[in-house]
Amino acid sequence: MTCPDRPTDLDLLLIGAPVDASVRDHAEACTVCAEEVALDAEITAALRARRTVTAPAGLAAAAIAQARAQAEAPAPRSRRAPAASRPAVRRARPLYLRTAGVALAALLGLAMLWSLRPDAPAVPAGPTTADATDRQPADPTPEPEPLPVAQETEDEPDTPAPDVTAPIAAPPPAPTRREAPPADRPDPAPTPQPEDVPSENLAQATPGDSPPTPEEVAQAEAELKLAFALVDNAQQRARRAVREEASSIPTALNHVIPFAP
Amino acid sequence: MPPSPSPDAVVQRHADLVYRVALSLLRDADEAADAAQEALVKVWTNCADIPVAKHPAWCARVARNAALDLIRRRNVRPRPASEPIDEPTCASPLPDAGVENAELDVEIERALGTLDEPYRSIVVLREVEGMAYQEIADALDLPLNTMKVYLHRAKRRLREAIAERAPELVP
Repeated sequence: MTCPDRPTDLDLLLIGAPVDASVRDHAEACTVCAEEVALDAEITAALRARRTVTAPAGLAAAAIAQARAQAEAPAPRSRRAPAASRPAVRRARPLYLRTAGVALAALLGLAMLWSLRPDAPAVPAGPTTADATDRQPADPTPEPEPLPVAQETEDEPDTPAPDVTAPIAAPPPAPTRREAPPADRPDPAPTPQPEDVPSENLAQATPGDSPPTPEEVAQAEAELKLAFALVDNAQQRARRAVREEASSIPTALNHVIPFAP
Repeated sequence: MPPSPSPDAVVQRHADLVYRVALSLLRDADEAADAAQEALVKVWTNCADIPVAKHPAWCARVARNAALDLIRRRNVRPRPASEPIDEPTCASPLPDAGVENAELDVEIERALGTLDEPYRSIVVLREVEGMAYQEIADALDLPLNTMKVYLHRAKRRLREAIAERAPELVP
């Protein structure tokens, strides 16, 4: 229907945009454009007439009553308090404390990353308590064992010193965490995969139980949708009841107190 | 500076606008009343934060959001364009308006139903509510020029739909 000569100018003219005078002249002269302008005027007039549609009686009163009830109801506890209502003490925390906390957290994070990186060399572990006792015989100058209390008090110059050169069978050092297993060690038992391990539910399930079928899932979803629909329906009915009640109040007042001219 | 009206007054003043916007989207009087009530509760709660001059555009925006939210939440689709709307769309037809005017009204309603968002809201806010372009752009959160392009596209689609379905109504 759009005029092939001026397809866009007419649109601009019809939405009220500023156009050249030639466009107006063309719209009056061209039959297609004139029809389109007339149809647009009719559509506009019909749409303007819809401005007379009004809201149902009692809608505003019901909304006001609902808003007041919501405003007077206490806020739920789970709702987070707005920042303005929180105590000012927490917001007035000194800047250096916050900076120090952030720096400490960053340091801890870096340390964790450093220790967990996969290509980290095997760091010789510090001497744990067990390692210290295990490696003690390798020390060339071991300390003598403490004497009993009774022997300490006695003067025994002829007592031979303990033979520190005697070989003591040292147990093999404990393997570190990153130590690779020896090549001749037999392969360990295969680690059970998650699908191999029966879960608790499966273990507790009786042989008659089976995973839910698609029909059962669909039925459960349908029941859930029905529940939501029922809740929505109840809310809708409650809103309508409030509206009807709100709209009936002026009517009742008119009956009780008639207007006296 | 004029004193800001009370929330009750704001709700009373814009209840019709909110209802019409919701009705144009939902095409069902009961659903539109529900959406309008939700929107008016939000208007009552937050109108103190909005400048008075922007109340109409803001109310239209709240109403549109409430209607779209209702559509999403209840998974209700807007009525097909072939079904007539419940509410009387023209309360006081012109004296010389006869059958042809009613037919045109039905066709306009049908053509409006074929428009997608935001075209329908733009047409309603502009032609029914008579809002200014900038108000519509603010209400729909669109750039001004984009809104103008959408408006003339929507009006052209309306004309084409009516001319295609009811050529006898074209003058």
